[in-house]
Amino acid sequence: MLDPSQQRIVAGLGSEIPMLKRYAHSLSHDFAQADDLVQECLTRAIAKIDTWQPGTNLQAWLVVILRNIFYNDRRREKRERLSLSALTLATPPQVSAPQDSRMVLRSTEDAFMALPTDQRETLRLVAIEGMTYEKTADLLGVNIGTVKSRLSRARARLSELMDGSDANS
Amino acid sequence: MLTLEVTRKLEVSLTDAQINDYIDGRLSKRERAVVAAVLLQNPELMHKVMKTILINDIVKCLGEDVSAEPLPDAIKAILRPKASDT
Repeated sequence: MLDPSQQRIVAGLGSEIPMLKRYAHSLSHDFAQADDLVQECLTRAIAKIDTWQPGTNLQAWLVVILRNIFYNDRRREKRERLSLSALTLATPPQVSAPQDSRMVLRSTEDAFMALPTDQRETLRLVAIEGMTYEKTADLLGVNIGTVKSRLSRARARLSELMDGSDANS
Repeated sequence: MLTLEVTRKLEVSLTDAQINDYIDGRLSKRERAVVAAVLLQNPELMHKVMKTILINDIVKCLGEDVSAEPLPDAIKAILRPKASDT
């Protein structure tokens, strides 16, 4: 049984779904799995809504829940095997020479999805969700120096991939 | 205050961290101006930073198609108030 303030929080969860879906997709590479992650995240959030402290950041709380589900789930190894096999197939990532703007957009997305997970989620939180380095570090449980180095590596890697060069060498 | 690296050839350069701070809007007006001045003096570095900014602008839009997709019924159901809650 939810009290009125908890009902308002649950109602407010809906507005966070687009952010959660983007984040889940960047972790899982898969639309269906992203939906599963969001669904599980919302279910757990509602189940432990009494642990959320009003005044703290709801978005950050949800991201932590979703991230924990992804990394702690028993299917983690399977997910990573799938991700690794997908990456292996794409290694070196085939970022073809762009011929028009749509291909540039597509190539950028391919390169982004080919980033290592830690770099991709850091870049996503900073560049796409607009989070500060401090908040990102807090959410990911790392220090700011790690956030900065991941951003540098992610951006350098994206730049290399967009050149079509083999950054693995 | 932004400290800049001076190379052996006495060219002023920027670290990756400074470039990220510039791209992510973490610098003061004064610091941004210093970075801009360095970039104007170094076409190669300017090209690198511009390329990173342009790629970053594309990255910012990634996922919009994901979030625009209709919500699965299972997720809608989670957020629907239950009779026991009202």
